[in-house]
Amino acid sequence: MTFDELESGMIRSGLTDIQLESYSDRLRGTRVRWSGFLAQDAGPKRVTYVSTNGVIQNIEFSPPLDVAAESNAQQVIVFIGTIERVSLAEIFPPMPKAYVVLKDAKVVQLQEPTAK
Amino acid sequence: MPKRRLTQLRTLVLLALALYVFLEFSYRVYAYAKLGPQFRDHGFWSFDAPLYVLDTQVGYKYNAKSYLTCRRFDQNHKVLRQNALAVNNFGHISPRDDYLEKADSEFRIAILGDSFTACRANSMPWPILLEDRLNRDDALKQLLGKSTVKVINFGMDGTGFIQWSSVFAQEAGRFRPDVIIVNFISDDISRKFIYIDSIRVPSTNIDFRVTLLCTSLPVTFANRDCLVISNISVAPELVEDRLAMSRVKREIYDATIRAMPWFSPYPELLAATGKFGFKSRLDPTSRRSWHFSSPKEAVSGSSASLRTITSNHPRVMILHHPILEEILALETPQIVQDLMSSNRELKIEPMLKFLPVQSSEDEVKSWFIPNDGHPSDYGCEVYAKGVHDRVRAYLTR
Repeated sequence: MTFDELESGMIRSGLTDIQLESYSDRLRGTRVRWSGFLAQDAGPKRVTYVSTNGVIQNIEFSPPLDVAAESNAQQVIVFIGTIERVSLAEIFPPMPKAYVVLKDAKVVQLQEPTAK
Repeated sequence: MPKRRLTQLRTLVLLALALYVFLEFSYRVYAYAKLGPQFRDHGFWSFDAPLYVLDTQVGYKYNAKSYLTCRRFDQNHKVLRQNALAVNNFGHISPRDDYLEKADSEFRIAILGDSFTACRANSMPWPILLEDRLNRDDALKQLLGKSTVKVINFGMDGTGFIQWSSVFAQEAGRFRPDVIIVNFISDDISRKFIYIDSIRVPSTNIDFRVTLLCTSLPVTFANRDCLVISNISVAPELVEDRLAMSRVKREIYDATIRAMPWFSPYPELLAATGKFGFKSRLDPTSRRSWHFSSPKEAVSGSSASLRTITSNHPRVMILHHPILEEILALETPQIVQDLMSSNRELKIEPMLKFLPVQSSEDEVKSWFIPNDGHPSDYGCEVYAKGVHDRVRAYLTR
């Protein structure tokens, strides 16, 4: 399942609290392999958030992810993890965008920084 | 003997209570200390003056007579997009003023909706493009016996059906529109009534305001029905300063943490165990949702509000504005179908049927702002054309 598929599925299944909770419950435990932009510029390489589109931080790692020390913001990492929770990203003006918490995640690939 | 046992029991209970109070206190100290380092830098929208002003009757208003620059920054302080925003004399997003007085020669349309209608991120809101199109439509004006058409944009970010009956009663109705257009996206059915205000945060040396969105009053950090929205109004020269803005975001975060119910009698320690049915209130992410809890509740509340509007105005058009995912999938979500079937006598029109959705995927994607989802400037033009056709069909039927 791609992140976009997860997001489309969330929109299709409805955005009231009960519908979101039920969708999140259905996906809990699903193993995914996604990629995303690192949120931090530099510093300690315990990454808590990444962004699939380089704009909204929409994936959270719990516990944080270990990333190579030389990594930079806008660098893309490929990771695998298990879906713990799916909710609505808090953005305004609001749009139905997904926010996903992953557990047991690890980096499988660190790509070169992109000129985004 | 029983009296002695009673005393022992009382002592035991008091000791247990004292132990619990001590543990509860220790836990709160620990929770407070733990939350501080959890701050993360994040993207935000900046405005060079406050955009939102609380209005307890309609939820909020845009700050009238404002000419602002809106900028969207990512978490690395890079500007992702920027646009000028004009709020007119009545607090509507429009470069043109509105007037309560209406000439006999004017045909007036009021549009109720959310951010897809307000178009705060566009150079020209589609309701204004619609007005221009209708004014060029001489045949239609002749048919109506009018020389001008005025379209008033009552779109309000983040609102839904439940709010629009109040917007109609308090605001739109005063302008004596000939036609009302209710323009909605699927999510609007699920939204609760919201209040928004721009709040000043006590700051060391930076003057700024942050936006709070709440489903109940008062609009304060301490109200658990309020969410902090990353819309920050700050002087233009400061917004360029990454370090200053990072400090602003940190101060907003700290204000949020400080306002949590640290001294309430609620059993936080029990809540932290995840058992006993309590949910922690010392978690910044645990604030109450601003969506209805079930689709049934959402459809019922939205239908009631919609009926209030239609029972108070003889000509109401109701248009479903599809988002990108719905156009690509060519489907109207279940909750919209439920709203339609609950209101069969009201003609709710899915605009999916009237937009050029058979265009290429790239063309359809260009109708929306990438990674945002709101209509692009080009998307506003496409949509204005689609609505022009519907208005024409509605008025000439």
